[in-house]
Amino acid sequence: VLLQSLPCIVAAHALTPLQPGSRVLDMCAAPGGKATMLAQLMAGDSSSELVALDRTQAKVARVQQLSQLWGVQRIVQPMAADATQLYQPLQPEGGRQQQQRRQRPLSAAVLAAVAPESFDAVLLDAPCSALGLRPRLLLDWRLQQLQALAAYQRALLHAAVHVLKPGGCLVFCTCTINPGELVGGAGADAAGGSSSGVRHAPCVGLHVMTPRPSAARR
Amino acid sequence: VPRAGENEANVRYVLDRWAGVMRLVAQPLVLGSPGLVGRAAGLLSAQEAALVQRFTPGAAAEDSSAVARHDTDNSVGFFIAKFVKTRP
Repeated sequence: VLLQSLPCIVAAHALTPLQPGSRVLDMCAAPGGKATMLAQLMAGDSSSELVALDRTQAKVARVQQLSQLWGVQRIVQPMAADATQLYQPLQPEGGRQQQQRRQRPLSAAVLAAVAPESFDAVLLDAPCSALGLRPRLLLDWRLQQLQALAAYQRALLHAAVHVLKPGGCLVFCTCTINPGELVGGAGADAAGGSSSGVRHAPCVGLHVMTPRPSAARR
Repeated sequence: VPRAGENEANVRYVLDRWAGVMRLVAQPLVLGSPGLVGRAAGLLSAQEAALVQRFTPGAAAEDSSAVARHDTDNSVGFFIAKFVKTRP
């Protein structure tokens, strides 16, 4: 059994139905939960193929392991690549972090597997601020980092549109709840939309607990 | 103003950047609530927001009428949008 969050399952399903012989790309696949689930949905059809990219060899190894565990290694092709590089001409507002990433060239195998307009479906489960993950004891994001992340996601979106066949579909998902309210929340309300403002919860505070060894022994 | 926006703000980006090419479409499985509306803030129109899904933990505590109805409170925060590329 592989436990996945409900929204992750909804996201994988968003790519369905897939025609027989479909080529699917998972741009940020590790650890591979959605990719292997998709591959299982496609498993009846041996002509389908799922290219699963992630940035480091270690992450790709995790996708490989999970594919073997679920017996879908014939469909899933894990490869190490920074998916933003699938579309080279773009120079997004990305900052230093992105320029460093830019220097890792794509391997010949990746270039051969990921041609422009060659995929029927693309899953972009983008690196995000993960503000939606719970439980979370500490949040240490700065506005500038959030902006760089959003720009990185836009670079990934450029790559996704670039490799997608006309008629193909793109599913874009994140595990964050940030819509840009950090700069535009008030505007959202003024525009008559639903509220995106963050309200403060009442502070429960800390309660000192005194150990009572005698009670525990009984 | 630099955009810090993920999710709806980046969906807006796709719709504007590839107008007439990338179109938002309905998703086969809908368990989340609609996206955030606010064209002036660089987010979505009501029509567009209805096509994306948002899972917002804690939302039910704040707005029992709108968001809790969709019962997305018992999950991680998540956002899903589906596009179709209509032409090269």
